[in-house]
Amino acid sequence: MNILLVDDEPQILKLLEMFLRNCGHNVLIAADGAQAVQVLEEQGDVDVILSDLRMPKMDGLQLLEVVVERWQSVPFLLMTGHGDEEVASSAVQRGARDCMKKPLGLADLRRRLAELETEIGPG
Amino acid sequence: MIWNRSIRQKLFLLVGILVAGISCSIYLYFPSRLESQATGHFEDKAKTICNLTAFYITSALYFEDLQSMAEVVSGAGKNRELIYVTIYDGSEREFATYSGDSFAAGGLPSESRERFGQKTDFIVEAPIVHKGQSIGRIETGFSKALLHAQIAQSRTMVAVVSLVILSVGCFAVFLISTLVSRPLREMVATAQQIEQGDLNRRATVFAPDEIGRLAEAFNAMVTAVQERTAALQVEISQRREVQAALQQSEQRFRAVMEQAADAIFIMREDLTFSEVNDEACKSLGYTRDELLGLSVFDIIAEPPLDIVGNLPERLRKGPMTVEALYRCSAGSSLPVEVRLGLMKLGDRQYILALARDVSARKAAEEARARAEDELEAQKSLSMRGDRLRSLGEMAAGIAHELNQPLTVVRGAAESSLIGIEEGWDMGLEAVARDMTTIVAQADRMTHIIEHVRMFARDAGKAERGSVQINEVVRSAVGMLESQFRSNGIRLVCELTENLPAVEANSFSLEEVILNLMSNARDAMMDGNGQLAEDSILRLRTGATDGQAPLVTVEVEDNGTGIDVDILEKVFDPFFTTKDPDKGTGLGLAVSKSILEEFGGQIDIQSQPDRGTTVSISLPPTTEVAIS
Repeated sequence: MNILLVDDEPQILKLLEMFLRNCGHNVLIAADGAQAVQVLEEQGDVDVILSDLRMPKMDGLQLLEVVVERWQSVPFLLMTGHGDEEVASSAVQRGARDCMKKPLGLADLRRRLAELETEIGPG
Repeated sequence: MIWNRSIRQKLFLLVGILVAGISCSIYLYFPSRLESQATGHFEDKAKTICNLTAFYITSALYFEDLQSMAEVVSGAGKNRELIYVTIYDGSEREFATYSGDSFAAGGLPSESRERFGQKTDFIVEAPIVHKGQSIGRIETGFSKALLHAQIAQSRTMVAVVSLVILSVGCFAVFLISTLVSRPLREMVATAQQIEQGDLNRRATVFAPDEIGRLAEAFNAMVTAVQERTAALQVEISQRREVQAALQQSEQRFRAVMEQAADAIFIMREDLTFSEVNDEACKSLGYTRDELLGLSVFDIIAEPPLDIVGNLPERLRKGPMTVEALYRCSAGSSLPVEVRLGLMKLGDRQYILALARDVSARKAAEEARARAEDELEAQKSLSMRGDRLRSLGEMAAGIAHELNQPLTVVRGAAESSLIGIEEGWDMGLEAVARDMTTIVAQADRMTHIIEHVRMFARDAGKAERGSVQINEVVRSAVGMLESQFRSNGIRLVCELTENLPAVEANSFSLEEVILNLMSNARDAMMDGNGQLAEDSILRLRTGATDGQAPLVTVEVEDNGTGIDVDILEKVFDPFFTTKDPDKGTGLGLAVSKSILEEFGGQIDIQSQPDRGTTVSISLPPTTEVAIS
């Protein structure tokens, strides 16, 4: 799958990129929502978006709004931090496929991505 | 009675009687005397005429010479009072007769005789003697008619004179009595007017006689009386004034005594009461008579009586104020503040005591002390709340701050684990890199936790040391950086290197900077907690120029700013514009007190809608502090 990974924290970005590549995915990265929109517009071929909530310039919720409006078919997974439970539930209502709480369980992430892959179908 | 009459009347009466008597005497005495004198004179004259005629006709009769006789008799006949003359010869025969203007020999005819006889009322005879021998006689008849007429005339004259004397006398009496009585009457009138109160009246001095002197003496007396009266009036009015002043003074004294809110006691030197006011009676619960029978020793529970005992001696040095405790009649006690002083009434010394009930004040003082304690407790609670808020701020930062390394640690570890399970060809290098990452992130978390622990322990403590302000700023920024960044706030640090150290507690200063940063973030949020675009928080350190340079930190935001009218209140404790759950209003107050503790200052400048800059300045450490 082509996964767009959005996070402002370079360490996490790098770690997740390595992990997802090891899992056999193709990974695109963005440091904030604005970059993510740019990538989406340029690449187009994105199967899943995995985004952090709190980011400068355009945060995860704002990115979600844009994605729901323009790339409605692309599943959106939101990573939330400490104390963002309310935001997480509202994000689901607004069209996010799922919310995952940091610190992230990678096994869990891998399983969900696998489910999505099944849903979308190979290719 | 005549004695009751006026002097004028008496004088008039007495002198009138006198003059009338004199007049009567003149009238009664002089005419009769004149009459007798005139009659005598008349008779002497008749006798003389008769005798002389007798003598001169002696020879004529002797020689019977009628002619000579006629000449002599006619000469006598010139006297008008002589009516007739008859000459008798020795034989008593009528020899010749003269009557009227005729002389004839012989006697008178009978009708003439009768006529002359009626007229004649005085007859004188004389013998005619020749050589001692009577040769006849002469008879002369005189009329007193003329004499009587003269007498009557004289009488009339006397009467007129008497009347004139009487009149003149009366006039004189009137004049005299007037002269005598008028000044007296005037003096009486003057005296009456004076009696009626007109002391300016004076008797008229008409002449320098006895009455005049009397009037002068009278006037002098009146003047003396007037002067004395004036002096008396002055004295009386002075006395009245003194009396009125005394009365007013007494009224004032009474009013002050009775309307005073304080209890007033006037004591003799033996400390018994001479005078007390209503308030004194009321506050002690005695009647005035009861209280006047007591002394200080009966009503004072405190202070110790030895102080009260030598009170007059102590008060000679000056008035004093003491706190005392009344012992009231009901047995209760009352705290009072007593002002004591000496006062002199006449030649006696008294002690004046003004006692004020201070129970209300005492109660108020206690209440205030309690309120202050409560306020202090509340303030301390609030400050604790604020400290907690700072910690809360930090906790959110910590959570965020820890969450990142934790995510990395877990991710690295789990990634390796999954790789091993799946048999990914990661290579030792990759594993080593993951392990290094884990160690580094664990160290980072340890550092964060250690810092927080020290912050919680040391912030607000009195210990101080030499502090580099840039380190403090970096530490605070490190604490909030990731949180602020993820909030969308751009943090810009413009730190001047090589600044002098300041003497302070670094955690307290960090608390101040965290506080200011948190305020700045709040200022850049709108009512819904949304940040404005391009929210920038600048942290600037530096030093001022001048003889005593100061180390400065500026925290500048481009938020909503603060209105001018509340700008001066922002350092007041409990002043806040935030929601109650977001702020206690103590942040800036606490920051200010922390800075002042280190000899620093805090200043705030703001422009509405443009942003706020809070500047803090601290003196650099002295060399002693550095060593």
